[in-house]
Amino acid sequence: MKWRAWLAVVLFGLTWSGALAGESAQLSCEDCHVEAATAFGRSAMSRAASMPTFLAEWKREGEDAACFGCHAPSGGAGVQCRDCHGEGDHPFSKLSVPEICARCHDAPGELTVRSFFQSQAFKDGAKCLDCHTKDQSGDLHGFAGPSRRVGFLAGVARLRASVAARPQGDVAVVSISHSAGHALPGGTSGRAVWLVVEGIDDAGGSAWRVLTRFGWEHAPDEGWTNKTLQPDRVAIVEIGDLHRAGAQRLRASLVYQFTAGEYDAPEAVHERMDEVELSLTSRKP
Amino acid sequence: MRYALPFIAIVMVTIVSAGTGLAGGAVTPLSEFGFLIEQVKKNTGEVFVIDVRDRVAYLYGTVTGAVYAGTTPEGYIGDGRGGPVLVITQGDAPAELLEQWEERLATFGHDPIYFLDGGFASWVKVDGPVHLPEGAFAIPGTLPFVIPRGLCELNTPAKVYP
Repeated sequence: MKWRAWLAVVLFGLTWSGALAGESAQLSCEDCHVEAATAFGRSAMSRAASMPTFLAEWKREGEDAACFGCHAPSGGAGVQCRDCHGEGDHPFSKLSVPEICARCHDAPGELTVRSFFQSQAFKDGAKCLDCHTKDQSGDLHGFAGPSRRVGFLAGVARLRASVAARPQGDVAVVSISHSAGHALPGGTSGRAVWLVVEGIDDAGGSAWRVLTRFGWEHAPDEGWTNKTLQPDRVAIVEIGDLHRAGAQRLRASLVYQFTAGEYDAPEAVHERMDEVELSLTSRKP
Repeated sequence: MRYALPFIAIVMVTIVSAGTGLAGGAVTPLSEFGFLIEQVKKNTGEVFVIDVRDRVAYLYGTVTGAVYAGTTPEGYIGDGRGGPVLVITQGDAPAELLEQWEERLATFGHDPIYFLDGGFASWVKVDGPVHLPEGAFAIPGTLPFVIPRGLCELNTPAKVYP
């Protein structure tokens, strides 16, 4: 009888461990980490490979499989838990931020993390998660940027405009400061920030307009050029011949463009970051 | 303390506040001068910095983020947003000129208005942040540049993070 008892114990043990293994194989991260999974599920990262904008561009550019290296490293609709947290034993080791972010947010086509390392914000101890997480639930997996959270860009950039009398005539000077803590715009190379300076006539119409684009640009002979707004640096635009076409006022707007292409493209999606006006007709405001 | 007196002697920042009725001559406490440097370093835009020296002097180096405002107060137009303004002068500018700038800037809501006693040279002596403004200039227009067609230009222009 003794051998039967041992056999029962062994069989029970095997069955129990098998059940555990089966259960473990079926458990997913969200079964236990409900809040984190819910918050992450609302993020664009979780759908990075299934967003219409991505799919349209992916198809247009020849359906390059390399895109999924960032948009869905483990397959599926987008980034998954293991893509950042790894495949190791549970519990996973603490993530190293921002290095883990840099794998995709520095390349290809980005320098967000590298520019962050150059910023005063980094020197002051700021973390990526300070601004780019904390959705309504307060969970640290609710990743968001300007395209996903209303008001995200509020107060990030500030314009100042003035007019200086110069020998060649009045010159408008518009300066841009920002506190993004990294290059602005961050994100991929197709995004841009536009400074739109307009002369406004008596009727309130646009007498003239000068556009300045901040973002990545490409020149046939020079290749790619980084013309993003760098952290902790003021950008200055000077514009002359202000009074042409009956301009009475000057309006400067800083506009974030989420879509690639020209400012006036029909499909362009904009959000105004700041706007300032001054009178050109009088030396008194 | 042994560094404080020479420091004050060198810097001698004069604050003229139209809002508080202070006329030229009041000296900014050392702590407030440090505040100015910190604000300029952080580039928050809280303190607007204008350079009223001649154009060549400005281009050869100025306070980081300073914009060129011309040499004549009557020719200056502000945006009305007001707030603190730091005025960069050439050396010890005549009191009459400072008063004209003070009046002009107050018209556009600036308060307080800071003048550096000794001008730009004083700022340099205390290692205030400076730059060549040419590096801050952005050129309007997009041609002949080609704007990226897509949101992600795969494998260019950035390099893979090491």
